[in-house]
This record gives sequence, structure tokens and C-alpha cells, in this order.
Amino acid sequence: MYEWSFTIAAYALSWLTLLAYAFAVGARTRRARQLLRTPENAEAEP
Amino acid sequence: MEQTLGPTWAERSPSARWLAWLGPVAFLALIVAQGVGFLVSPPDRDMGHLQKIMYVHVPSAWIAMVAFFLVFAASALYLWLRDERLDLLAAAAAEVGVVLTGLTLALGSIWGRPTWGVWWTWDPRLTSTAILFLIYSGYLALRNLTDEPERRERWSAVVGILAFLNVPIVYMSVRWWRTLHQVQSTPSTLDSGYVLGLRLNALAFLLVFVYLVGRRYQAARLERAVERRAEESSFTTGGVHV
Repeated sequence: MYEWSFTIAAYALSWLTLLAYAFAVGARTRRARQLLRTPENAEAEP
Repeated sequence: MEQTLGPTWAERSPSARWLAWLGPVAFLALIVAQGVGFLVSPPDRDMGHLQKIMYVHVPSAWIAMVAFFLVFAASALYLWLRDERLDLLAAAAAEVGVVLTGLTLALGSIWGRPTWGVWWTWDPRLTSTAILFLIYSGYLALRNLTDEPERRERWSAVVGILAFLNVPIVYMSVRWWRTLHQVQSTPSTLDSGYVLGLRLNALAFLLVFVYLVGRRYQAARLERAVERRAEESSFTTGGVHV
């Protein structure tokens, strides 16, 4: 049980980190997209 | 000009379409690879099931090095071609690399406590990896120091190239100063029972990395467009008032 608690903690941390980062990047993308979608900015998209 | 509120560039581009399916595929691959690692590999003679931490710790470290090589290559190409997209790619790869290096350090700490008896020790591999983490965190901080895009791109490219000097030091540290950390875990240094799991997990981490860098690059290009728009509008407004 001692071994498994460290192993499970490691896997949980990996998943939390990767998913949290993926969601954070998704939020940044949505925010930037929202800013570009305002009528005065719509033509500035790359 | 007609203003559009329809799908954005990011949604229309071919890269957005492949990224949309790469995300689920990459995370599914990670589940399968970790499942194989758990089911197929036998417990280690000394460490028991703690050995399974290798399947997240080692791929995370490897792919962080891939990320920093990408920063190096994109930075060098930027200085040659002066293409803004290369700077944004380097920044995206650096951020994902920092996340993976932080994860590598944390996972190593979780692995070190039950095997070495300490959460942290000033072993050359651990210390050089911590320095790597700080250097690339500094690279990301540097990008926020100036609002002038061309200067930011130039400074970042130079730092992106110089920072890579530490990567071979991290990689070779376990051979140059043989202390507590074991030598590199590669298919040639591992028992054959662990090789399949390690290869599959490395491949899955690589897919997740490509997905995250793609997404981060996409966000960076959109943010750059917003920034450019703000520059243009402040320039126009400034012109009116002056």
C-alpha cells in the first residue's frame, strides 16, 4: 500500500498537470478569439 | 469591408481541424500506454510497484528536452528568417517544456521519497534540471519585459539558443558526476520487461506534447493579432490627439 500511494500520487499529478494546462490554454484561446470577434477587431485575425 | 462574426481563422484552418482530433487521440493513447505499463511490466526487485512511476517521469523528462530543442531550432531559424511565426512556436514550445520540466521534478520528488528517503537532494541531475526549469521560466518572463514585438522576438531568440546549452549538461550529468540519480533510462539500459511500456508512454507523451504546443501556438497567434490591433488603434488615437 505504501508503494501504491506514491505511484498513484505520481499518476494523479501527471494527469492533473496535463489536463489543467490543456484547459488553461483553451481558456486563453477562447479569450483571444472573443477579443478578435468584437466587430472593430474582426478583420485583424491572422 | 464586411465584418464577420462567423468562424475565426483558428477554427477554419487545417491545423485547427487536426488539432481537434489529435487531443482526444493523444489522451486516449496516454490511457492505453499507462494501462500497458501497469498490466505488462513486472514489479521491480528493489522498488516493487514504485517502478511504474518511470512511465510518467522519464517520458516527461524526454519530451521536455524535445520541447527545448524545438525552442532552440525555432529561435535559430527566427534569427535567420525573421518570421514571427517561428518566435511564437518557440514561445509555445518553451511554455510546454517548462510545464513538463516542473512535472518531471515533482514526479522525481515523489519517486525519491520512498526510494532514496528524501524529497530532494542536491544531486547533479536534480540540480541541473532545476536550473533548466529556472532558465526557461526566465525565458518566458523575458517575453513580458518589452511591448515592442520585434525587440521581444530578437531577445527571446538569443536566449532560446543560449538556454539550450544546459540541455546536454542535464542529459550527461548522470555520467559526468555519478552520484545518487541512476544513469539514463533508455531501452539499452533497462530490463526488457520495461521497454515496451516506456516506448509506448514516450510516444503517448509526444502526442500530448504536439497537441499542447499546437494549441498554445494557436492561442499565441490569436493573442498576437489582438496585440497588433491594439498597437494600430493606439497609434491612430495618438495621432488624433497629437
